[in-house]
Amino acid sequence: MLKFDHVSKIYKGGKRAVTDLCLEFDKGEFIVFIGPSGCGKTTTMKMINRLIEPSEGKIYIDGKDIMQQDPVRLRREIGYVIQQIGLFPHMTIQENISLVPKLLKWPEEKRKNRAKELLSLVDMTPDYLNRYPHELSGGQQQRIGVLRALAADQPLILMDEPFGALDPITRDSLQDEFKKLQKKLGKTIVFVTHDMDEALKLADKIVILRDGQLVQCGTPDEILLNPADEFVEEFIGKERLVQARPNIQTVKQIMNPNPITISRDRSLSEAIQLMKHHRVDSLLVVGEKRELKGYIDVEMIDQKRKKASFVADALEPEMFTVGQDTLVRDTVRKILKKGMKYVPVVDDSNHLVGIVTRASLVDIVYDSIWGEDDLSQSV
Amino acid sequence: MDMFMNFFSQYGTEMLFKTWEHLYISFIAALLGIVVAVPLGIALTRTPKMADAVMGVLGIVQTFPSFAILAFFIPLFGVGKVPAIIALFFYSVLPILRNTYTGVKDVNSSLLEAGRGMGMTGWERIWYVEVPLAIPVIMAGIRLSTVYLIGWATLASYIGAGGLGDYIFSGLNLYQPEFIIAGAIPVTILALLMDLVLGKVENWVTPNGMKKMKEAA
Repeated sequence: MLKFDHVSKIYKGGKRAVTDLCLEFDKGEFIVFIGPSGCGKTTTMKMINRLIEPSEGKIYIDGKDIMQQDPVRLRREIGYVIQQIGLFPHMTIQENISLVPKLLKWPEEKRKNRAKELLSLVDMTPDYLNRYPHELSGGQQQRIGVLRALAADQPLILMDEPFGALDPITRDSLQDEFKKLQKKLGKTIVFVTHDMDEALKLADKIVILRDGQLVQCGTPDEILLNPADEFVEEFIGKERLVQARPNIQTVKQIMNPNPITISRDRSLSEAIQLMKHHRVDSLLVVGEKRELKGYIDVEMIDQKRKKASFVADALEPEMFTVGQDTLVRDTVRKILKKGMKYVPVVDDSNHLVGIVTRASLVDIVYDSIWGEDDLSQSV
Repeated sequence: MDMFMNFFSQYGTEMLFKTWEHLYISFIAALLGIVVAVPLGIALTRTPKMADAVMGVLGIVQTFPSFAILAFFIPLFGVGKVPAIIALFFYSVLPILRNTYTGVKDVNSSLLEAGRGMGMTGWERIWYVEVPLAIPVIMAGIRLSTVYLIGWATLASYIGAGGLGDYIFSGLNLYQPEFIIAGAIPVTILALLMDLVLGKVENWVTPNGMKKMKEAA
């Protein structure tokens, strides 16, 4: 969808605003450019719609080089939201929203319907259409600013700190609303901000820039989990790294490290006694060095007890496992989706190190709701 | 009172004609001023360096005594209405130009960036954004300029352009104060009326959104 190929911007006098940027994004991604002021994030964004033209390198949208296109037409195909909202005070809300359609010479009726349709997206009634921007609150104005960028159904939208001038409460609710809208409409967004909270909240991909150079590009979790260097760590802030921890626990932190196991050379009757003793319905089968061989459950014993007499003959070797450094969130999704009762946790060489059960999930949910109990006590 | 009645019965029609002449000279000059100064003012916002130079030159022209300018045009354009209109036009340009330039230049730059970013061409930005937002300031310049022109147009009769100035000059030459009054009072009324009318026009061309904004502020 959007590709930066060795893009640089050098201003007159040799000042480099952006240096050798290579990035690639997919359609529908929410991309946030972040960095301290003067890091080149706004310059980078403005190069996409040629408000600033790159000095070196190429930018492609859907495989087309933007420098080969007419800048006016290019900009009409890209939504643009600026920080200061930038609604035209002499135009009604309808005229503001349907400005790009007007430039594209849509008929009046179609423009009006489009404006109405868009207003309903942000839960505003059609009677706002004939009002003027100054009659609206800051939050409403920026909603209109966003709608204006959606008016001609542009697939790509550029936003330059659009919520920066709003009060924290309005900003927060607008962020939620906008993120939902973006997912619903499947737009690709390039969003510039210096607010890390905003970036973590909205982004699918965060691009961290410093002095015009790419420092790190990745999903919010990737960046929180593996900050590329001290600069990123500092920029994220220690607080957030600590705060972020409960959300990005690895399986190792929540697993039960003592699953009930049995070795292959035991008999089935020993297995059933072990189950009865520990009050479980299945056992993990391990080798001498605790390498995972498979599992055996009460049903299998029941079916095969006449033919087989040892665990090795009855076990099911195929089973789903997770590594101990996998994110809890990913594991949870797999357990819930596949309807599994438990997942064994293994290390890199398939040695059993623990087990995640549905009871562990209850702990996580409990913890995220009540938030105070220490997980390790209850597991 | 009798004196007035006598004067009116004697010169009434002539006075109406001279008033019309006066209005017509000032109006044409003002119109030419608008046609030249508004586009020039907008153009100058694109070249700030040139703007300073042009404003400087026009500022100097403005200080020339009006009588001198009128006299100066006689060898170039002869006497009559044409040189008078040309001279008055020169005077009308500066206030309109200055206001257009300031008005357009003061349009919030973030609005222009929004316009550019949304894909407006240069002309579309002028037409949809800059002119509507600058129109109150531009109109104030036009109003000021036109009211001044009505005053200055009295001098135009000196080079044979006619108008109410004829009465004033005759009165001065013949020591007849009623003629001076007959010239001065209609000029004043004309200027006041013009100010009123242009005030209405200003209100009419100002976009609704901006009017409401002013009321709210």
